[in-house]
Amino acid sequence: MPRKDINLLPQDLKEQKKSEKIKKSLGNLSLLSLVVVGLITFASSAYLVRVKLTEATFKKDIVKTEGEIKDLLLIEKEARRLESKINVVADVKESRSRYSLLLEALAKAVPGDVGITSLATFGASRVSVSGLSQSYLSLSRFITSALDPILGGKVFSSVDITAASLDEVTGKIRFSLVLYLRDGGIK
Amino acid sequence: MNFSLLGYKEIILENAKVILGLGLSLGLLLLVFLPTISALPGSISKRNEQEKILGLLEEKSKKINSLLSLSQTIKTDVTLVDKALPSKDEVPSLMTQIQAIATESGVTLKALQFGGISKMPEKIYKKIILQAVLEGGYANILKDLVNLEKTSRIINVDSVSFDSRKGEGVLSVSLGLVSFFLESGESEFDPLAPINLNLSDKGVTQIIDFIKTLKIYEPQVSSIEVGRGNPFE
Repeated sequence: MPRKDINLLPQDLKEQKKSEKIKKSLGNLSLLSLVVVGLITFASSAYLVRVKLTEATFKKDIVKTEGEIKDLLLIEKEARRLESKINVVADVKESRSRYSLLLEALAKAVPGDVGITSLATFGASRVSVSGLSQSYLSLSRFITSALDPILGGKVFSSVDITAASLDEVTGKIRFSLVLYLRDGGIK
Repeated sequence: MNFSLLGYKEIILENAKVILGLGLSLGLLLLVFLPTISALPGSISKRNEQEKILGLLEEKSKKINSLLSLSQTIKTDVTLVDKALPSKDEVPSLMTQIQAIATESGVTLKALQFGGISKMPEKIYKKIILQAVLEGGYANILKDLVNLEKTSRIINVDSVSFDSRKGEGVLSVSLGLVSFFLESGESEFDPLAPINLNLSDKGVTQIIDFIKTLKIYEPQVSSIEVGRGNPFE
């Protein structure tokens, strides 16, 4: 049968030892916290200093580069002026309509017995035309040739007859029609 | 009272290591770490901004240096493009040009009206609006239109209206004309904006070649002296 151990240490000594052990642990913990906080503080401060130093280097380089560019200001202005003007000319050229092409297409499409008396454009999408024709057949020929790819078809896409009536005095057909222009037809 | 003070002193002395360690940690945290951490994002963003500016400036410097050898070509092209698109409205010169074109085309310029200057919406340039009334034969009117399309100062025909009721083959034509100009302010450009000019670019060479094909109409400057004794004479 095992003998039971008898604790010979007094109770107050036991508590004192326990308290010293706690104090020692707390001391070590506080030292550890100081080391950890010290390390992260050092790291963050070092990083901040590095960022600030880099920023200062960039600032110095910016001043240097600006100085270099300043010496070439004239060529910069000329280049920018040329660039912006070329862009505007390209834009204007793109938007321009060449009405000489419209007249040439119209001249090709009008038969010998049809005469145009007035013409008015409405933007670059349609043209209103009025005139006199010898007959309804001539008017029909005019419309057909206006849409013929060899004659006026490169410019005109469709035709709407707005009026066509017989002039009793002259015996001619007085007509007015709208010619629709192709997209980019007079560019 | 004295007893309790002595008691605290004893406790402090006994736990000096712990208190010192924690106090220093807290001090470092509050006085160094927290201000550093709070300053870091601002400093990083400032540094990044400076880096971006430097990058743009270096790119610009590189571009300008590459254009340096082409400075003579740029100057010539600027002079050429200035004729097509001046920096000022130059309305009298424009109207003189339209008059010269009409004379050269063999049409009579019955009226030429200045309709004002307006800013193009969402564009950097301005347009000059004009209305011209011409009279002449069909061939001459057609020639006038072709000449307007080929004049060195760019003129766009905006609207056309013909009337042949005058008889004897004479047409009366009303033309809506538009010309353009681009004011070039000395300090208008953003110094950080990149220069995209590439003189060997197909689009650029096409525009330069197009301008080279245009016909120059130089207005004659009057040499008559200014100032009269009696302006009603």
